[in-house]
Amino acid sequence: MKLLLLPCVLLLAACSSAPVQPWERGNLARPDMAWDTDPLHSAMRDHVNVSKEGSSGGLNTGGGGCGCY
Amino acid sequence: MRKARFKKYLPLLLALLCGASNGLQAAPAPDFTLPRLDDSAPVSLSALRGKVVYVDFWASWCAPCTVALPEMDQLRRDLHARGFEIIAINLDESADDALRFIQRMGLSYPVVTDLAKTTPQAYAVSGMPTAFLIDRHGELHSTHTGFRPGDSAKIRKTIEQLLQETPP
Amino acid sequence: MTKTKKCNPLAALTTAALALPAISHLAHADTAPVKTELGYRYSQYQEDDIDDNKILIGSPQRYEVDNHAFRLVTPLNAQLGLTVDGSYETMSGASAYGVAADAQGEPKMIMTGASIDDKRTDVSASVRHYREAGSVAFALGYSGENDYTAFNGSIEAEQQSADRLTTYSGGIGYSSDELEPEQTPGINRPTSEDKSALNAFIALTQVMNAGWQLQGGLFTGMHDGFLADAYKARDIRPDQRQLFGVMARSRNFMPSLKAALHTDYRYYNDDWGIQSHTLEFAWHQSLTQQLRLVPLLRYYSQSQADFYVDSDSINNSGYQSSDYRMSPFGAITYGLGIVYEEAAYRLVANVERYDSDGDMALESVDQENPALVNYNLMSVGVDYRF
Repeated sequence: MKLLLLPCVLLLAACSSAPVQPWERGNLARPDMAWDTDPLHSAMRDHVNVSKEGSSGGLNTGGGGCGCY
Repeated sequence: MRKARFKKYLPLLLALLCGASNGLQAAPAPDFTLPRLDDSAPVSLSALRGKVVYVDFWASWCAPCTVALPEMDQLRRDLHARGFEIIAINLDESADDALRFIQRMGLSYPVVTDLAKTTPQAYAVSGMPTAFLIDRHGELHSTHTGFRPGDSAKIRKTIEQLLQETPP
Repeated sequence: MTKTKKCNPLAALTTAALALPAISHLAHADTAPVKTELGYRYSQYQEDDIDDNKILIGSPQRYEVDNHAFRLVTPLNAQLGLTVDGSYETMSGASAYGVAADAQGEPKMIMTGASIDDKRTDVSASVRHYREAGSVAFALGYSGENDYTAFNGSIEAEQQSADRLTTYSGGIGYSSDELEPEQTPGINRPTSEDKSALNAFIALTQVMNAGWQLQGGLFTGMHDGFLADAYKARDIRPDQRQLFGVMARSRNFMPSLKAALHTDYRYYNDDWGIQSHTLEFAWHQSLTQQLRLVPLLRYYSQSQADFYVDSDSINNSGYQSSDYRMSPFGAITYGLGIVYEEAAYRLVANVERYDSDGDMALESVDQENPALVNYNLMSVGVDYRF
C-alpha cells in the first residue's frame, strides 16, 4: 500500500523543481530520452512478457521531451 | 549588470505594463548584437532598421524549427531585394550541434548564436520555435509559433504588406 | 514572471498568432509528426527445451516464434497524425497439457505430443488530433490467430500545462476476444468462448530539470469471461479478474557521460491474489554522434494466484490451475541493444535473455513450477524517415 504514495512523492518532487526554459530542452528532446525509444520492439517485448507472466498493464503515454509548438 | 540589462529592455517592460490586450499593438523590438555561428562579423538588429526583419528562435533538436529554416530561406531569397531580412537565433547548448546542422542547408541569411540566452528572455519566447516579425520602424508586428510545412506562404503575405510601408 | 504574463504584449501576440498545434520529434507522442516514418522489425523468440527430468510425457521442445512487425507514422494534415501497425508471426512448438505428480510426488510436465503450428496477424491504426498543448488519440485494432479473434479500441488524451513542463494524460481501452479452440479427438475442450477486457490509466509527467523527467501513474483493468487456458487438462478459473497497478518511470540524461538512464518500476495487484513487482533499468550510452549501446536489466517477481495448484489432480475441486503463469516465481532479463541513428534512417539490433526460477522470487517458493520458461529474444530492424 505504501507504493500508492509513489505518485504523490513524484508530485511533491515536481513542486520543488527549478523551471526549465523552452530553449533548455535539448537533452529532453533526445531520442534516447524518450519514454519509449523503440515502440515496435517494445510491442514485441510486451507481448512476450504478458503471455509468459501473470501480470499485465501499464502506462502508454508521453509528456516531457521537446515541448515544442 | 542586471540594472544595465533592465534598462536595455525598459521599452519592452513599459509595453508589458500597458496591458496590451490588442495583440497587434506595436512595441519596439528589443535590440541585440550577436555573433554569427561561423564566427564572422556579428549581427545587430538595430543595423537593420528600415527593413522588415523576421527573428527566428530555433534549435537543432526542435523538429518544426528545422522545417522552418530551409523554407524561410526561399522567402528571404525572393524578398531580400525589397528590404526583407531574416536573423535566425540559435539556442543550442553547443554551437557545434547547430553548425553541423545548418552546414548542409546553405542558408542565405545570417544565423547567430546566443549562448547566454538573453534574447529569448527579452522576447519572452514561450516555446520552440517562435518567430517575431519586426516592421520597418523596428516595432514588433506579429509572432509566429510552431511551424508546419507550407507555413511560409501565410507568412509571406504579412511580410509583403509590411514591405509596402515606407521606410522611416 | 507569470504575473506579468497576462499583460505581456508578446505573449498576447503569441496567442493571437495562428493557433498551431504542437509539432515535434517523430519519436514523441506529444507532438505531431512532421515527416513520414516507416519501420520494420524482425524478431525471433526461442524458448529453451525443458529439462528431461521435468517431463513425464511428451516433447521437451517448446515455443518458437518468428515475428515481422511494420509501422507507419505519417502526418495527415497540420492537426492529425496517423500511426498504422501491423505484425505477422508464426509460432510452433509443443505446449503444456498439464502438470502431474510423479511417483515421488514431484510435479512433472505433460506435454502435447504433436507440435502446434499457429499464425497470428495484428493490425491497428490510431489517429491523433493535436491541439495547442494537447492531443487526443483514437485507436482500433484487430488480432487474429487460428483459434482466436480479438477486436479492440481505445481513446487517449494528453494535456500540457502552460509552461509545458507538466503533462496530464489518461486513456481507456476495450477489447473483445473470441476463442475457438482447435479440437483434438479424445480431448474434451470448449468449442467457443468469449472474454472482454476494459483497461484504463491516468498519468502525470513532469520535467524536473533540463536532463530529468519523471512519470507516475495508476492503471486498472477488468477482465470478464473465459479466462482459463482451454488447452490444459484441468484449468478452472474465475470468470472475472480485476487488476490494479502503479507505475513510475524516470529518464535521466547525464551530459558528462553522454548517457541516459531509464528506470521503470511497476507494481501490480489483482483479485486472483497475484502481486508483482517489475523493475527495469536501461542505460543508453552514446559512443559517437550516431552510435548508441543499450544494456538492459529487468527483474520481475510475482506471487501465486489463490487457486494455483502444484499439480493437477481429480481430487482438486473448485478453481484450480497448474499454469506456471499462476505460480510464484522470479525472472531476470539481460539485454543489449545497439542503435545507429542518422537523420534519415535508424538501424537497430537487440538481444535479450530471460531466465525464470522459483528461487528468484521475492518470497520463498516451496515448490517451483516445472514449466517456467527461459528464452532468447533477438531482433533487428530499420526505420526510415522522409
